Amino acid sequence: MIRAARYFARAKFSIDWPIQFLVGVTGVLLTFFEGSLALWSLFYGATPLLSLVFLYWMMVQCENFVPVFPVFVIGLISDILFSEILGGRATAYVLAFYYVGFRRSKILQGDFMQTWLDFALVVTGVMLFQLLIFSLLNFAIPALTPILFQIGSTLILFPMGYLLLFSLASLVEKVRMLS
Amino acid sequence: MARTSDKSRARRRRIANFLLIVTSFSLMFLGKADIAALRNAHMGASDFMAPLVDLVSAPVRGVDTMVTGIRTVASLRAENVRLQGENDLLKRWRRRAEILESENRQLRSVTGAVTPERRIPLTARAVTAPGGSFAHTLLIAVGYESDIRAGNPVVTADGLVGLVVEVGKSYARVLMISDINARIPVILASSSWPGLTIGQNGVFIELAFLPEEAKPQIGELVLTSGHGGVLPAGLPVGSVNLVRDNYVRIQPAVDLRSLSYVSVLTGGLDGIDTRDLSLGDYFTPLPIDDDSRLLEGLNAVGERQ
Repeated sequence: MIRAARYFARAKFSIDWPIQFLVGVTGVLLTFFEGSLALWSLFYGATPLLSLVFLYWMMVQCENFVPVFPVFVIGLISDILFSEILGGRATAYVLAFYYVGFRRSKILQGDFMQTWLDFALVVTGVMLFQLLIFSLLNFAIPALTPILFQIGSTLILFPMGYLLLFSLASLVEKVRMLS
Repeated sequence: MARTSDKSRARRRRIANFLLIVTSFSLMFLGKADIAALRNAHMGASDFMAPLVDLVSAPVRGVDTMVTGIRTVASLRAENVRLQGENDLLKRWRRRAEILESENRQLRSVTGAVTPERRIPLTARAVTAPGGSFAHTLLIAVGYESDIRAGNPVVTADGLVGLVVEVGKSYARVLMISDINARIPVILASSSWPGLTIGQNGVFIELAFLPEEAKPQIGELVLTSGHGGVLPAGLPVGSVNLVRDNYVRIQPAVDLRSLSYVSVLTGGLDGIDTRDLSLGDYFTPLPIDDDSRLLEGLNAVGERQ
């Protein structure tokens, strides 16, 4: 029993961190891409949360590769990039991380519609949290249309992101099997 | 042994998670407290990230240019006809503008209005556009190396975009007029009533704090008043788009959704010479019902005969 535990602990420690680092870098690059999407007049003032789509998929499918710290850093970088309340989105992402961790087994058991619905809850939660903090700190309510647009566009793009990430994951798996 | 190690690891993880949550919340309140060190760190991070964002956005710009090119080719003939008509119209307007300019020069000599100090325009590329729903700011590719300072107005040929709020070495952040925290002192162009524009983080801007007597008209031009001395007077902000009860909405003069290049008006931050300006003299509208002839007896150089 003791031996098995030791082997398990060592194997787990030695394999995860490079991938965790890669996940963080990919998330940061996606955040930059989000920022560049704002140059299109279609997404002016309300770009879809692509980094959240990526993080959600990773948190559900590859829990071990997504520790909380990169999630916090990705949120913080989007706060700086979009000049929003410092730490607002970072906190929302961290809270989303704990929520998904709590719901993970149920999400994995359900079908795609259930996953989508759960993601809708996460996106709405992230935006509502930011809205609440913004309103409390500024004593003002911003225009709600861009917020709804941001939630809507993220939800519309979710299936595409989900499919893309699944395809990439299966490709990586095939390459690994071949090598 | 292994159990103890697992337990201590779990405890450490719990403490780290707790500290992260505390840090997240603390950041929000520290950010709001507007501490100088944090502000500098914020701008430093933006300065560092701006070239990376610029690099990542290259394909997005490429696609945008391609789409615009295809659209332009498709509508070339129609565009040509439209441009010819527009050219004729502009020629007529130019003549009219020359007459008005001459008239304006004469009127200035009559009223003795103070011309704002000359500012030097500096062209800058917009690196980012507003991407979030909670802040309308953009990063531009000029910084304190180019003598940019916080408070410099940012304009395009159509009018005011916003003003510089943070300056880094090679990049600066512009608070746009549509941001919820932007307050621009303005006047209604035709009636001279003063007011304040308030951004709504949307496409339109609210015009507030108008006197009760003011009756803004749809399409009426809104210009910067120059109050406070930060912004020069007379920059177009937008035009009145909707009037409903006490709510007045403005359509910005600049299409804020498609900004590629902007001009930063450097210098002149010491403000307009306010020694001879007072609210009573220059920002109270002329009484409409008063039929007294203010210009009666004045010659072309402003001397009373």
